[in-house]
Amino acid sequence: MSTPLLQVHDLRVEYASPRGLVRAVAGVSLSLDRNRILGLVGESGCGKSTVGQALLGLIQPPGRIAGGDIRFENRSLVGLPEREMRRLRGNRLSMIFQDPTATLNPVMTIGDQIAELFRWHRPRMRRKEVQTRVTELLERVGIVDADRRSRAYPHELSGGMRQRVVIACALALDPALIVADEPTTALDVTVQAQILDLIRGLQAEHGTAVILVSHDLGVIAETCDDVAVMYAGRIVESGPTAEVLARPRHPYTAGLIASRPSITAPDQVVRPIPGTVPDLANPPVGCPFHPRCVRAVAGCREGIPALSPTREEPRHAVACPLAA
Amino acid sequence: MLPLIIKRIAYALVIIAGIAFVVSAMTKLVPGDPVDVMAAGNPGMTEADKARLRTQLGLDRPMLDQYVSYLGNALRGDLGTSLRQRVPAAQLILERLPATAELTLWSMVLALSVATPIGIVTALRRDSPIDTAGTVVAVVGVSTPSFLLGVLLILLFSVQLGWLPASGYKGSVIAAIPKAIVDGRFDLLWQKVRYFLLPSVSLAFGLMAVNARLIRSAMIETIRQDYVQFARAKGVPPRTVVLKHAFRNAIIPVITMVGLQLGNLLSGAIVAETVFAWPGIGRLSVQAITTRDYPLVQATVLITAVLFVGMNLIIDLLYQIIDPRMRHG
Repeated sequence: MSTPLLQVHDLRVEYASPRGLVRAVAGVSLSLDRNRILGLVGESGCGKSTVGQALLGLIQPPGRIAGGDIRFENRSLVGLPEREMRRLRGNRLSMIFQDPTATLNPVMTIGDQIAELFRWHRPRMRRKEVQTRVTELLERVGIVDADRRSRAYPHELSGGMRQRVVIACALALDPALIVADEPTTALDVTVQAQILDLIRGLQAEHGTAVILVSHDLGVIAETCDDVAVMYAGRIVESGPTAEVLARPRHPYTAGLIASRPSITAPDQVVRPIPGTVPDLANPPVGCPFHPRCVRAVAGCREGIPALSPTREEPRHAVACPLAA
Repeated sequence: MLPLIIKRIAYALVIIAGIAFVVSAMTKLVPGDPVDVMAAGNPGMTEADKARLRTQLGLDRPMLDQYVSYLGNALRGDLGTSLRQRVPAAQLILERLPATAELTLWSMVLALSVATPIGIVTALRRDSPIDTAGTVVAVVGVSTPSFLLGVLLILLFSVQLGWLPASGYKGSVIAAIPKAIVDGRFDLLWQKVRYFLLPSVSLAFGLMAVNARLIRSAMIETIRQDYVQFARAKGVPPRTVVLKHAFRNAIIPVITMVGLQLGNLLSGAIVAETVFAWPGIGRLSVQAITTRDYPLVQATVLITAVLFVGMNLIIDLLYQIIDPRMRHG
């Protein structure tokens, strides 16, 4: 078996804050092969977006990568000089942001914003060829009348169209990995489905690996091959999406599934997880989930449980001694 | 875009017509009437003289009538005749305008060329020693009156060091630039620049401080926008991220402020022009007021108001160019 495209080992990201050190990512390990879609799911503030930003080297002070390693295409990205990292960004690794209205620069035409990628990463490409590529990209993401639209400003497009433009930027240089950070959260439900279809279609066509960061289990279920559930800066459960969602082992995963209203069974009672996400500047002792866990026992206060494979399905791993 | 320009120009014309009304009504705002005020400083004036002056100024006619004829004359370029100097007020203003306009231009160029780098750097290095130093300079700059700075500059550079003239104006710098380039007469250019240095520095200092703060806060606001982060995620180098992605958005609010400042300067930096004996609009209005030259006061008020409105019109149109979102407004 060849080495995976991306291997993250024990990644730690910290932010200095007036209340103390916030451990936004507290030891995350994951691996991803080409042509796969991995979902990162969890509540707001669980560190899932931070993992995505760390992959692209976009953590800015007061934040920093405090430890661990990111291996991508056989090189380590942690500690890579900024110049080298910049050559990868947008080129081998790209990102789709949450809110397309805020992601596109309001004073630049969308064509210029796509063309910029060629300008910095393919400096020898002729202006005319760049224009052709921009038009092709816009057509590929489903924008009609692409040549004319490339001269439009973001405010002249709808939210869904804008997200298509952002996707065109992410795809422009045929990257090996795309991090999609809540790409559908800011969109209407009908548009959400279109955008997910688009991402999936383009991903399959190019064999790109995708990390889809989302708080929405429905989106994850529909799109991802594998899923990693994050809580308080750690992965608490991971495995093939169908397996994890059908047989959640960690009480947190089970809680997330139960707190989702169902359309097919509207009478089913929604059971929210009691309590709130812990303060990462001052996390609970032991398993970070134990204060909210319905199954917590005295032992849960001692030591942070490691992510270990379950007996029935080795690809399915869970960080809870009660569930393994 | 074209209809919008026409709309803006139409607004501007309405505003100017309103200003002209206020200006023509100024004669009613003085206790008694302007002729009484003038007579108070002129003991030799007889009742017959006063009556003649009233007719000449049209004070014996109804107010609306006065306004219509004032507006009509103004449109033909006749802003009345200076009572003291016996020449058309419009001519006096036109003679003074270039000096004020050029002082305005250089002061703003100076202020912005210092304020822009300071604003950007202090925004990027927020809460660093550089930022603190910038804050100190800004507070000093904002709270130093330009006349005080002007006097201090004169004391240092003219009286103590003798490097620069204390006052006066020796003609336009812009007009001297072509000759300097073509004939290499940079000495002639310098002769004119010398006179500009102290007044423009004393005007620019406060503007520099205000604008540096404005640019700083606008930059801090823009660099945390998603599109700046997205530009980074595309592998755009930091300098381009700051200047092309962040700064172009950050200057939008700054432009409004600069427009108002330009309007203010154009209507004559009264104090600075007085300190440096600058033959501009500001000093002309002071002279008109102190000599109770009523038509000249009216003319300077009208012209400076028109300049102000014109400046705002230009800024409005500039907005359409810089911010594509405004083009449909």
